[in-house]
Amino acid sequence: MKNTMNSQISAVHYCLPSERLTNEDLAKRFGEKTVASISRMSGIVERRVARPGVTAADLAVCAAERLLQEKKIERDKIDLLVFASQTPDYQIPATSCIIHNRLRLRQSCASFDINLGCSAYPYTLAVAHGLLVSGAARTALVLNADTISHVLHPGDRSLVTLHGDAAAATLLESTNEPDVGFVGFHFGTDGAGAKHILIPASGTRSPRGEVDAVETTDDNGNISSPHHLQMNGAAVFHFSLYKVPVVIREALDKYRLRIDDLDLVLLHQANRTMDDMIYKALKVPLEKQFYFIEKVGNAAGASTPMLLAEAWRQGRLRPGSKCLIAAFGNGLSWGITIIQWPGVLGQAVQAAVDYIE
Amino acid sequence: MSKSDIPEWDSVATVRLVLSVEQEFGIHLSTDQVADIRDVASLVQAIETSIKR
Repeated sequence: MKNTMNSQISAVHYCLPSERLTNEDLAKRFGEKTVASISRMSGIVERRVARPGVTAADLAVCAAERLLQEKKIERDKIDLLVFASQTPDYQIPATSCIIHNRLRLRQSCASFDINLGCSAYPYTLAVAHGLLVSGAARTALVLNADTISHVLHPGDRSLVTLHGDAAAATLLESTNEPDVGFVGFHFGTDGAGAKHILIPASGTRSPRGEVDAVETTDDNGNISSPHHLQMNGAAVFHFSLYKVPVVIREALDKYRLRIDDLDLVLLHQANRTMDDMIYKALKVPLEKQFYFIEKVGNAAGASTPMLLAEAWRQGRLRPGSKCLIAAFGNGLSWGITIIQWPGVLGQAVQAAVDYIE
Repeated sequence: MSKSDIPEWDSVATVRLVLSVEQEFGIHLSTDQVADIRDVASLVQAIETSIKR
């Protein structure tokens, strides 16, 4: 990336639905022993879940409004809006267009959706970055939001115990400041693994209206149906453990960096055990690790931007340092970005995170 | 012996089993092979296929 023009993240904020789903609640549904065992593995004791009627777009608008207000950003300044989600308001039109109207952005603002799951954040940043450095836009609002709880079968203990809902808003601006902003990106896809995380009857391949929601129970007692998200947990876990360390090393090699050059390594918060094992494989020291999953669960596409926001709020972003963000999930898909923070880092957004209707 | 016979045999247990056999036999199972493991027989078959590759 030798272009002198770059872009940088100037603020990030997130929003959580107010309803809490605790391990005690889930023990009544799945049994205490089962929930305790999964919780030991996942590191999750509580999730935030959106009640029916509250969508990913609602949470994203809330996060964006609070960010714009606290950072005193004029709405007319925003000329690019990207919304990434797999739980959009509608199949048609793009939810970003609806959000564009709700945020009262100007008509000359580009708005579009990106359909990716847990791997979305580096992709959305790269697309916004590309449009900013090309001159097509100057100020971008990137929204990553999912309400995965809405597409889970309530009897699927392997997924219900892991997932929470959330949204994040990231403000990106073009910059001429040398050596600040995105160091680079590294992406990849293994489409042969698409079948391992999907909702079978959810699009035009198998229209929901033509497929009955017949419930099935797997070997571990998880109940699901073709209308709900289904995941082969072992396959996805194994893929992540094998692939993520490899592609992080590739990204570091590509930009001639080592773990020693990074201040922070942020991983998609899939589950605590998985991230522990990835950190171990890469020999990432404790002081460069950061978790935010215990009280929120795996928030799919909102997970990594929310992690970044929380690291910023907790004072873990050191001015002038580099951090790496790795996100991975359904597709199978992965994305990595490396960010160089400026010597003078803006204040973290301190606004409330609870969604209020 | 299959996953339905052993309540503790969940997806994490499958991954731990796979990591152990990969280390023991010096092999790497594919994502699809791991996806299909549901009993001891399918685990043995995955190991045998990988050793022959």
